[in-house]
Amino acid sequence: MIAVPVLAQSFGFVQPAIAAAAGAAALVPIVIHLLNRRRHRRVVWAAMAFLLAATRQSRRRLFVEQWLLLALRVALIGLGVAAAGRPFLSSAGGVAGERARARRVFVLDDSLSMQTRAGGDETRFDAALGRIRALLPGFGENDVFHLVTTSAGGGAASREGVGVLAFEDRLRQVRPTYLAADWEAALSSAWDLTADASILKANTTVYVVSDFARADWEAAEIGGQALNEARRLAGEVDLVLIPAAERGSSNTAVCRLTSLTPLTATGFPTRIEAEVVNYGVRAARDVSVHVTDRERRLLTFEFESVPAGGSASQDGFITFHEAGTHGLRAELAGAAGGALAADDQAFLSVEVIRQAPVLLVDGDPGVDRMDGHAGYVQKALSPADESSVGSGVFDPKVVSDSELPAESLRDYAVIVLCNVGRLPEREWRRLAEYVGAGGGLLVFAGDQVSVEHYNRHGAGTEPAILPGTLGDAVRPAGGEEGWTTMTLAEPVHPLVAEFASLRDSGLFSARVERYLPIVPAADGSRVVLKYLTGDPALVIQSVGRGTSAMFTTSANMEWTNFPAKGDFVSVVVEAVSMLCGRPGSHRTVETGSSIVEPIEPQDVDLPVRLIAPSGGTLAGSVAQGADGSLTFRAGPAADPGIYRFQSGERSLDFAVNVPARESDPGVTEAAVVAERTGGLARVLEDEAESGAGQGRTAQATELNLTVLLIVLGLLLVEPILAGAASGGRDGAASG
Amino acid sequence: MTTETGAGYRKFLDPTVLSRIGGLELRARLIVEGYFTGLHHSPYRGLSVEYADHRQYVQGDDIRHIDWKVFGRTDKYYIKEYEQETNLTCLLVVDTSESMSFRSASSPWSKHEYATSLAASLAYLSLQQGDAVGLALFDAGLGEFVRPSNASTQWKTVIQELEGKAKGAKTSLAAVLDDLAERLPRRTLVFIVSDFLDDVASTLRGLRHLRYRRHEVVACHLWDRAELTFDLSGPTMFEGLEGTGRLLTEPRTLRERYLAEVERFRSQLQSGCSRMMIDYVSFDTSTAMDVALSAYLASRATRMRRRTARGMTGG
Repeated sequence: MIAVPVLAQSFGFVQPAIAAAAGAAALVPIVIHLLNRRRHRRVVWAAMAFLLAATRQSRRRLFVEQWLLLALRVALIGLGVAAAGRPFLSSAGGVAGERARARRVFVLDDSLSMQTRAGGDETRFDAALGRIRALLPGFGENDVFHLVTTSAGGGAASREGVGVLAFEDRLRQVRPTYLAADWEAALSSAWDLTADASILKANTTVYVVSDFARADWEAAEIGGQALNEARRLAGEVDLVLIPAAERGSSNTAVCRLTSLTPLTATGFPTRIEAEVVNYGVRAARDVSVHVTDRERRLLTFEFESVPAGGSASQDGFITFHEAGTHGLRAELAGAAGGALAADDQAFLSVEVIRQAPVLLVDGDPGVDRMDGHAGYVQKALSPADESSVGSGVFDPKVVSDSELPAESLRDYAVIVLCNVGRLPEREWRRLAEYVGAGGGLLVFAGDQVSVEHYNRHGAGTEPAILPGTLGDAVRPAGGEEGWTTMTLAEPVHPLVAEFASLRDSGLFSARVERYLPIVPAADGSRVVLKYLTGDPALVIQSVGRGTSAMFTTSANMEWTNFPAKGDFVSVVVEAVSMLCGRPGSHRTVETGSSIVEPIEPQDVDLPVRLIAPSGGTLAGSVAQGADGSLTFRAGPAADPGIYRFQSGERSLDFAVNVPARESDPGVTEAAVVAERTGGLARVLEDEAESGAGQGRTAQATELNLTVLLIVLGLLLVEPILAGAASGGRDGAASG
Repeated sequence: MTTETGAGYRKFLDPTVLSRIGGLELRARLIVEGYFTGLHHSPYRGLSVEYADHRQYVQGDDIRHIDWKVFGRTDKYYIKEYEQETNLTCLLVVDTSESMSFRSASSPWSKHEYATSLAASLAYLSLQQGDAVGLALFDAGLGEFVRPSNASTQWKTVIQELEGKAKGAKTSLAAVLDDLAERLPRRTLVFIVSDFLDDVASTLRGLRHLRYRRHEVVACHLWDRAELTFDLSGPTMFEGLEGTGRLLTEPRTLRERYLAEVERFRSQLQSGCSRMMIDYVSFDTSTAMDVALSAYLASRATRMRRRTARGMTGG
């Protein structure tokens, strides 16, 4: 929209492009006139004296008529096209007379931070509603109101415009949420509403009512997107910022509850960590956090002091004795939480397994366990005696490569290939499907491995389940007999992070006499360990939803003495744990996220329920993915807490946390936000301000009808004038 | 048969047909013969003979002159009486100024072509009747002048002079008429064939001078049809003849006033002629030639009647 100031008023067009076209169109009669003058014909004439005499008599009248006609045609076409550009006349100061119909778009911040209590019982959200209600009496009866909320991407907006009474009803119904503010989406929704041309943008005011949380408006990325939208709005319409928060609130929150143990099994301790953040101006002292599982307290963290503006974390061990998911709740004890209650607790869903089944495929089985290639791996995963197999985290099973086709791969958390030479093509396809669906694959090299076969079926197909292309076995040149050792690749991978400070570890002293050089795949592979020769020793990569890893030396003592080192156990256990993929990690989400759970095909007909923390049921549905997998999806989850998924005998706990950034009670001054919009937005601190509710261009009037009436009038006049200016004068003269 | 022949000749009075016939001499002959063949009941017989009246047959009259048609109607013998004019002098004054070269797109020929054809026809007709014919061509001044004569070579002389083209000079009719008035020694029937595009007052002064010298004057005012209708439209650049300048205009916007100016000019000239007992004939180049010839004959007859009247009153 463009507007040209004329004294106290301004004139503009809703569709400036059409207005520009009108200007061009208005030139058409002039161009035709000039072309006609250039395209005249020549006539030799004898009775010139009479012609000149006639011209002398008519010169003045002809001049007036012709230019008047030209001006009329210019005006006719120009105004006709300009009317389509929707001209308007607005008055910044307001003019006497009936108030123009205005659009009021309220962008109401209903994010979690608006539940912060500034003092007393009133929350920021209550204050925001109060400020909106205080504005309503000053608005016109015919004004149109829209409500856009910042949660759910503005999806909670009442997009259709309503009158003031209906708008008040909507204000009574709207509630604060536990969601993060999505300012970009909310302001974009407001922009879309202003684009509705039924009301002039000059008569549109967008009110942003918020606490202007620091986390939203000062975080570089989030604030940047929001500010971009705000600048776009302020450039077109009247953007009014209405702050609804008082400074000085303090808040302490449990911002994180996590499990540091990748795979949790019954009877084995799981390391749980809680982090507390203090947004106050003073250190929080003697903060207790209770961790409970279904109202049963499992752990208590005692924080002697949490620094002002800082955080503190503690971890402890919990041993679960029941398999299945456990919904843990970490809650601040007492009234330590401060101004915002919802973030005084955090939730974690932990999947506890009895054992993780691991299939070890030995390509060269020996007479006894340690003669083969899988023996050391089996021992590492299940260090107990043969008699106590089944009591560890992992339940390894060793088969020969010829027995692999008889195994159902889905029954195993991880499959380990140890010196397996060749596999039928069908088995490679099964392995690829297994990994793609979320399984873990660990491959050890050995003298049986056919490099060409592995590269063709493991690296040369799509998807490639090997993390690189193998070369022929090499014997490194080092030492008297030729060997090398391993070291950590940079950057250090979490899988071996604990070895970074253990330079005399067996991992680094183990001799490797032979290995298969590998060129890691360019896409998504990562080197974890490497030899001193520079060639990778352990490479991992993600394949679909699963992970594969390649150890380029043998799993037994043929090529290396690493299996004899104690650290072999740690590396193998960590690797297999990582390949297990943290089962159940998808069950801890934030508010606003959907709850998603894979469904086994045999369970598709079972009734599924998702019970919210409030006890109500959350609707969901089962859908089939492109790969044929079935997935239950419900939500988004609006409230924090433990949600229970039930399908037949299966019961799973989902943990839903509030967005951590909403815990910060800090705010940005609305004036600062306004300044960041380039000064285009204005701040309304007090409803009593003059013209506060009116908007700065509340008296714009569309001139379409007026212009069209003028065009109609000109259309009536033009033939008369044209007739008078040409042959039609005969009739006029006779009359 | 007679009618067919007359219709065949009649077409030679149509300017559109005549314009396609080359040679002024042939054209003039065709016009005159066509004119009289079209009349077909004409009493015209021989040279310089004019029918005058009927009278009752008396003994001794030549029976060849009995009008048998009258006898058939009345059972009485009537004798046709003829007069022979032997001393009529006719001067054809033809305008050859640049304006006479004007020819509109719809006109079969220019005003000059029409004027010369008309003059040649009149000359032929006059010579056929034994009248003396002279010719004067003019533009800004008097040009070629052929003294009136009824010699057998006069026709060729007149045609030769008429076959010249229109000149590129302005019309200055008043001076020419003054000059002619002084040159003509005896009473003469003066045919002025012109578009008269000159100052009306001075033109009338010149005519008055001729009349003062007791010459009979016939003013043949020539127009192009387009000059009278001015039925043009669209942006037009008018380029005036005789150095009258240029004008770019939309003709429709000027038509009314232009036609008013034309009418005013014509009425001034016509009324001036009328006051001086001058026959004024206005026609355009698409008008059939018989109009002009009729004008000539009517004028001649009027003159003869006057002469007769004068003879009767004077004994």
